[in-house]
Amino acid sequence: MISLNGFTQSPHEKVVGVRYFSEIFGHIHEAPDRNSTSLTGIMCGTKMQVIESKKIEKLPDGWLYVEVGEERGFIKQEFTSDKMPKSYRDEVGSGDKFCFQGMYPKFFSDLNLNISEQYYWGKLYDQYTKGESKVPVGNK
Amino acid sequence: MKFISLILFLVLSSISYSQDQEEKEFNFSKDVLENIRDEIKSDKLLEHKIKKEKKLQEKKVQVKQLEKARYNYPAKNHAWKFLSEYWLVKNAANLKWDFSHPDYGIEKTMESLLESVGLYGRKFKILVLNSPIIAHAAIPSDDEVLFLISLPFMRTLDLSKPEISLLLLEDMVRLELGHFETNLKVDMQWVGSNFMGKDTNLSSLEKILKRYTEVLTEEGFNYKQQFETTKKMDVYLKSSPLAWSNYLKLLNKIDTLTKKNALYKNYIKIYPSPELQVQWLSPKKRIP
Repeated sequence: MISLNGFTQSPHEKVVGVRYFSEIFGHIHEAPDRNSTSLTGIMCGTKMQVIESKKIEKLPDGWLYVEVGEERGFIKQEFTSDKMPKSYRDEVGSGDKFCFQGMYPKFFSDLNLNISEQYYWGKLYDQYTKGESKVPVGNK
Repeated sequence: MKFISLILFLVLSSISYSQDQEEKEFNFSKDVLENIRDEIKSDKLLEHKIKKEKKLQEKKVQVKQLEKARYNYPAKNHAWKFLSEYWLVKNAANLKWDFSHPDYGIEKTMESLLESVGLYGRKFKILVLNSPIIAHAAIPSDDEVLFLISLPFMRTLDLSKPEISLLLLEDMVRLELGHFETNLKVDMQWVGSNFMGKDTNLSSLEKILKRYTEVLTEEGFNYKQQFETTKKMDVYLKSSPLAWSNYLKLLNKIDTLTKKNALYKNYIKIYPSPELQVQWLSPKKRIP
């Protein structure tokens, strides 16, 4: 038995990477389904350990099994980044992921968002369906 | 006696030696003072000192700039996504977008429609509302379009995915023609500016949110804007006769709904008017 982050890991589980939450607010879900219960709310920049577990038989495409603080649950990979999202201290390029609250810290803190608003903001990203029309081959 | 004389001699000699040494040292310092200065210069110690001071100064400026950057308002390319999401969060209870629903697969049909009319590489997000308060709309979101579509509206009209996509395309056209931003009529001067030493301009923000609601649920768009939107749709759909005829059928369907269903009588205030849109699209009859 190996102990990582206060959790006792069984031999058929291992940490396979680290990712950072990159939207304003979000949720760690009980199941890999956007409608599933939220185990905990997270905010931009939250570090999460990506876990590979034999207990999770079939993880749907685009979902990760992660450990955040004392919770383990599921999150869509598109809401995460392999690097810490940038803030006002960094130079931000057009394709760079950044934390809105880190980019505009005073403005964002002055909004004084309550818990319910933070919860809904996290749910918003779960409720979106994304799409993008393709660029014809040769025009990319 | 001999011993005392010897001690005396040694003491005197030592005093005389130390006086000579002091004189020599003084003379040495005086002579080489210029040389030492030259040496310091040649070792670039002075240059190093100046560089260090310059760096320190630059660091101080950087710290000041960083402190100032903490008080930035969102830049223009980050403002609309924030504003639209903030409005959606603040109005979550009325719009009822936080509900369990399956993935309707509208995005795939929408992608195909966009590609068929030559709108390539367009990013969008769809949010389904479980409320009839807004039938359908597009709101700005930086480098993408945020579509809102009402589930009760889709069900009442029994809309197919191609029909929903046509409605969303119409919303996208309206948004890209700038009609939404024009109708907001809000002060956006604060965007991209800095408020260090001042209070955050939350009143402007509140006003923008209020205007979002007013435009999308009460005021809507005028006839001129609707005409421009419909004509642009006509141009886009000309290359796809099937999509064009579906659009015409859709407008007729909406026209019937707004005339028969009291729940949607407000629709023509927002999007005037499906009946006229059909007329604008219909080919003019030639007099024989």
